Amino acid sequence: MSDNTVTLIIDGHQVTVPKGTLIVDAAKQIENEIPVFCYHTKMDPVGMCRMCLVEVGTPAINRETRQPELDEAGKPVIRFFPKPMTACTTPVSEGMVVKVDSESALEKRKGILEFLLTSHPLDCPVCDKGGECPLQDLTIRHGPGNSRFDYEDKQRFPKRYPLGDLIVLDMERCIICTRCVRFQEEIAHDPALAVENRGRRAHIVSYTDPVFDSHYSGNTADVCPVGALTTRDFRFGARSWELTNAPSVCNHCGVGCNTVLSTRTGQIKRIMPRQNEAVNEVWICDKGRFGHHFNGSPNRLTTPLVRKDGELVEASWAEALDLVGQKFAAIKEAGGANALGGIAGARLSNEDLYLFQKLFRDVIGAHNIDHRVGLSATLEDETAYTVGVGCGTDLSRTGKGAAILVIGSDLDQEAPVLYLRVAGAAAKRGARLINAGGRQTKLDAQAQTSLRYRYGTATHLALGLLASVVEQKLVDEAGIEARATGFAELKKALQNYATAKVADVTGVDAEEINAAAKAFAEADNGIIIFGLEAGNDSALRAALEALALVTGHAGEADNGLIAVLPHANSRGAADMGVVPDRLPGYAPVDGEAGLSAQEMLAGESGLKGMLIAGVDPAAESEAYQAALEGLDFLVVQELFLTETAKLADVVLPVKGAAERDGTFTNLERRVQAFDIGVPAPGLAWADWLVLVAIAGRLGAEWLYASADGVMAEITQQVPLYAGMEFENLTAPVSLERKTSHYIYEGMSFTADAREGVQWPTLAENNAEGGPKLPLRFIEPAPVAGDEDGFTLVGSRFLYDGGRLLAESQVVESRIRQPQILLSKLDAQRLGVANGDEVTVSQNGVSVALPVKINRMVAEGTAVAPRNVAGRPVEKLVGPGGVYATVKVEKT
Amino acid sequence: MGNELLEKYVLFRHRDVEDIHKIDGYTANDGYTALKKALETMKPEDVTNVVKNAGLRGRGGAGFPAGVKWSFIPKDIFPKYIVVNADESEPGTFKDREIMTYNPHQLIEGIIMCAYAVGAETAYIYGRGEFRTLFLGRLQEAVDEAYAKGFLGKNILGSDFSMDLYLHLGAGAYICGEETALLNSLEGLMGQPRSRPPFPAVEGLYAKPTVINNVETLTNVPPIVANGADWYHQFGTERSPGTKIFSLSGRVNKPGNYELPLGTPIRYLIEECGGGVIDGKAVKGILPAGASSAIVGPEALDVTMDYEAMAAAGTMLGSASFIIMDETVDAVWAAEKNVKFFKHESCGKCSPCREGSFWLTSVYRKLREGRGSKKDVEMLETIINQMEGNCFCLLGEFTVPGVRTSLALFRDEYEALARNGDEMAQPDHNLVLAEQMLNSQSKV
Amino acid sequence: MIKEVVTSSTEIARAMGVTIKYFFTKPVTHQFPDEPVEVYPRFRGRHVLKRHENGLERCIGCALCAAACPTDCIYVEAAENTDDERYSPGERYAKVYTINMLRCIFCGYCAEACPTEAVVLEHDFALAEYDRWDAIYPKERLLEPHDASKVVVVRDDEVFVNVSRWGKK
Repeated sequence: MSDNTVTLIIDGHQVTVPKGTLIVDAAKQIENEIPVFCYHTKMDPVGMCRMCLVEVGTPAINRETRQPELDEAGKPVIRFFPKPMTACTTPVSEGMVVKVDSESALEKRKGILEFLLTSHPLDCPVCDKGGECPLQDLTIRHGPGNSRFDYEDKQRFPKRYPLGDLIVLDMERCIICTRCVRFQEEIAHDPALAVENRGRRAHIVSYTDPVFDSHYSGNTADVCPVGALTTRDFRFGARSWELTNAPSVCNHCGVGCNTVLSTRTGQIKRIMPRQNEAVNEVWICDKGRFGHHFNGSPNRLTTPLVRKDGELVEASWAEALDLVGQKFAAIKEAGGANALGGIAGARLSNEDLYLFQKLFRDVIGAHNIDHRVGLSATLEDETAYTVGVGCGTDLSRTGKGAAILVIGSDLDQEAPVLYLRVAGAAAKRGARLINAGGRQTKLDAQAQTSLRYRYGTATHLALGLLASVVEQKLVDEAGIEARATGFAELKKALQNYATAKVADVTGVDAEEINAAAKAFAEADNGIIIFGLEAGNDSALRAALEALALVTGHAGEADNGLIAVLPHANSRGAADMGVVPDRLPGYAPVDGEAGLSAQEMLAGESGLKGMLIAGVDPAAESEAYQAALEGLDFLVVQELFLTETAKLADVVLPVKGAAERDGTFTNLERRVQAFDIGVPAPGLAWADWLVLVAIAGRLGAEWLYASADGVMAEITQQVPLYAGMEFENLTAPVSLERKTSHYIYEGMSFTADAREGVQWPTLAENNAEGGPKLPLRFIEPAPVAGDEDGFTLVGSRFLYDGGRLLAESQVVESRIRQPQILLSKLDAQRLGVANGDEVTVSQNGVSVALPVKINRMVAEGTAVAPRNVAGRPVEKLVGPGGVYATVKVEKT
Repeated sequence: MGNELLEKYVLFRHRDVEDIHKIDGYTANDGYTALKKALETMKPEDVTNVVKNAGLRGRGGAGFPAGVKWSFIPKDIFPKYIVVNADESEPGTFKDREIMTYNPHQLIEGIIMCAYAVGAETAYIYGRGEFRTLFLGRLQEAVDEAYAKGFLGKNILGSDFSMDLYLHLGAGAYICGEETALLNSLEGLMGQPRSRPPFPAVEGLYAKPTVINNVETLTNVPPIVANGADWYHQFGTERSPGTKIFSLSGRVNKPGNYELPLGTPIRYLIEECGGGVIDGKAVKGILPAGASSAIVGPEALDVTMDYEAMAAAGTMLGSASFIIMDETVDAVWAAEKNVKFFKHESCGKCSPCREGSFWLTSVYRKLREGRGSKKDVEMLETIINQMEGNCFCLLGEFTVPGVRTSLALFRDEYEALARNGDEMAQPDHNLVLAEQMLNSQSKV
Repeated sequence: MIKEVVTSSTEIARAMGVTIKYFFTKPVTHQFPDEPVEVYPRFRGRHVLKRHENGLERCIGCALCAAACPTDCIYVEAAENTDDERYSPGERYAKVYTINMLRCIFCGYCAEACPTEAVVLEHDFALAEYDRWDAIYPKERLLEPHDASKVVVVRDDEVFVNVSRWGKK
């Protein structure tokens, strides 16, 4: 028995658990269920519902001798507490005896259930929770068989009370466990819910504007142990036992939350989180939960379309594919392989992307492929290959002793579930959080240190931190020499970045820079997260990479860099080499690199034909549209008839992620497989199959029969992906890991708990004796002088104008319209109020935007959502740009 | 002047001295001399020890020794807080209001000494919302006077010790008399109790060590420090020393606050102080601690009013608010009133209290409206059994003894009501039919 | 030989006797559908979705009938009542309610599972259709107040067990 464990006896079974474990968790080990309502493993215990009352005894201690009293048989005398104890608030202690199944404990449980049921309506037949309801289950297991309470005396509340657009409250069903309130406070950090009034009149309210303003509101319906909170989306959609559940991975952002598609008669009825402690714990954001309606949308493409006499008309697959084959072959014949190019979206699976590049490189013979348009153009990341977070990183456990440095990312909007985990690490588990950014974000509330730099100086700040680390002698120089090359040159270059100078340039207090550098360098574990607002700046990435290496936070679990990439498979697109200069697995191409997406769409690229899959460049800008119109032949693989598809000569309908299987690689490099949930509409094919068919028309003989067949080849061809056969990716987690997993109390489905597989970075190889890593230094771009006007920031918002989200009516009211967020003072100065229009202009480009006053925006800064209808901000800051100095005038 | 048992009042000095609520009146009558003595001649531990040796027990209800409580406060954690519980909301208790209205400086002096003893620099008096006039008026004036004279603020009486005293009003909730709920309310949170451990002495207000004492407890401190522990022991009993204010109400001729040594028999309080029961009727029941105590019958009249004897009699001294019921009082009505109070005041945090008190009210209403049956009387018993020992805090637990003893002592009254109900209830038609059928079959 | 003739003649006579005897008794055959058939009150025929007295549907779309059905012949899709479009009291109603009568075995479990006594197996048993698809009854047909008196006569028998004894100890 080590010092950190405690042995106790529960119902006659001896149990050994870590110190500080609560009785309720200890009892799970022997599968002696202690029923709970208010307790949730992810939240602090409160002991309100009194459902978990058990009898607890501890060894009696003799007052005089201070020794345990022994009975005649030599066994310690157990003294039971006079009152029953709540198992959810009482930690275990050595020698404790717990009676879960004793007569009196069962009697207590029955009593509490009878109390809870006195005011609970008999709604089960119409309740969405019916069939997966803890109250229902526990009543059947422990409750009284009949009701003694007078029906007329039941407390009545209004039914169907909307808590915002997404959640509906039925207060009569509520048993006031406050799990929802506590979830919002403790985990989402959006205290949007509260209990009002007291006693039996207590009820749940929300006073935010808009009502229940949170990106995580759907989770409250999951944690609700009764049917008091239901989602507007699933309300009466199906009974829980009628649903078929398929494990899937969310395709809305780079976090890669594990989900369950609950389907009935071929339609997705709801999306629930699937537990994966390493990715999303048990949460998903509202975009992932409610943004699934594109799957069954009537607007989906169902047959191939071919342009005849200027019109897109329906055609058979054979006809469309033959045409593609002929045209591509003809273009190649006439203009050479480099007359063809392709752009693939970062929403495609690894299999699609691998075949996409293989089609161009092996069959056509061109390197003109890319995925960096739209949001993908704002952030690319090669650092994951070198110093990405180590395998086995688990932000759900990151806590004391760890430091997290966030640079230029509004995590709550860009990667909501990552926000939950980072905020939880700081607020709940005591990690040191340093939030560096150009503007205030929600994460500042949880950060111990907020570094507010001037836009354009993020790289200076990163170099300043690095210089400060070196200056304060917080580095293990021998260790660095052993792992990396070029430290001496780096040190020399850093002499120009003395803290005082950096403070001057960035506007951050010098002492704060030093303190942050010290905190980060001295932490046991360090994670750097950078996002869209860090800008697509290779100098910054080099600086952060060096910071991770110099501080030793690289190459092991819970250390390294995370780039908050925009799409579900942005990481995979880079891994699979859908870039003009890198082969799959980051090997440089032989010979000359191909054209990048910006070059292909520049108009005078010399391209005659293009294949565009799962991305809509024509919607991004008029210049792109003109470039695409100038092509001889354009093929588009799409779900919808997008702006780009409207320009195409051949449009090929493809399956959405829910309709096929495949793998995504998330921003922590975790490769995760998803299953088929629903049938595809019409004649849609999976993207990889379309590519196989095109390759066949071009003379290649590809023999892929399934997505896992493609993956099997990837595991052979791409060393990083070795061992990632579907078989391994879909294997359930080991039993050992499973016991520590939280159970879905009451849920009708058992989560198919897979964890995915991460690929190792160079730093990890290097830690095991691999080649040394170079410490890079890239001179940052010169900082622009002070210009008059506002700093306009084109930032990403969760509910943006993306094509997929547009199909979900339930979140329609939350989708951002083009607007400009200004501080109250600036708005007053300009003489504008909410809703008034202002003209925003820069270098002759000007757009008109309605004003919204926002208290998070600082004076002199204007924030506008990108990727919304008409792409107004992108016109001002450029497709890959983040900020610009603009003039704002009242229209 | 005092009364027969007390030569001079210890707590109700305003009854002896006229203008004691003014600082001049108070200082002229040995006011703040104890403080001076403490600050100049005693170490903080000495003050704690005097209080400990005096055996002063908490006057809020639980009777926990105040000195012991103070000694639990960790020495090395700062800041620490003193919170004075002036949320006097037990039905029938009105002693603290009199102290704060007429003898505020003795309380303030006690608070300062307590702060000195434990090393706190901030103290709060948390009063119920209904004390608004008092808190904005006389008490605030007294605090201002104390600041003006240098008894509060920086370097009190020229010593190194500084402290601030703030008055804080709640919104009028019974639950906020529970110390952890009081702390929540003081912090601006919902007035709901916290789970213990951690105890307030370790993690109280703003998660810092906190002493929470009742107004009356701290008012006892200045005379104890001034006169010594032995002097204090001349009053009261061995284990319950000192004097105590008894709030007498109900069916007596002269209800009011009476300061008596602990250990005085109940009969003395009713007969001598209260002038006997109205119209000379017989005592039917006594609620010794407002709504939350067990009811005792007339046989308990000779029980002495101290913590031990009351506990032995199956009830408790609590805040010593004696409510007297005579034979004219309807026992079920009184019990229903109690239960209604608890239903109204339940904070809603834990289910047994929230739902149990709600259910009890509904059953009582049914009984009193004559719709109840014997089953309902039995149901009352099962409901309180389901509540007892299962509630989060004492509010829920306090609902139980009143109902339990009321049921035990006045069962006949309940059953009389239930009989009415039984007669009124229509027999179950189907049951009658079934019985007839069974009878006819058995005849065949 | 003679013996054989005699025995066969008597056999024929006996057989004819039986025939002649039944010739004069009332025929057992019902002239269905020209004449209605008699059934017992608790005969389980085709389902009917009942309405409340105020005309609202009793069915709340809870799909417990579908869950209870051993042949999986009931399909229910629920939706939410609005103030403008109200089909049933409460929040929920059945938007789609179909029963495949070809699959149904008329066990009555659906009626037993129904919490609102909305689905009831009544006495109509004449369910022959010209098209097999017509045997899938949509909600509209199930809701119809059907008049089965032409094909069914319910026997006016005494109830065998007094209602008052149901469920009583």
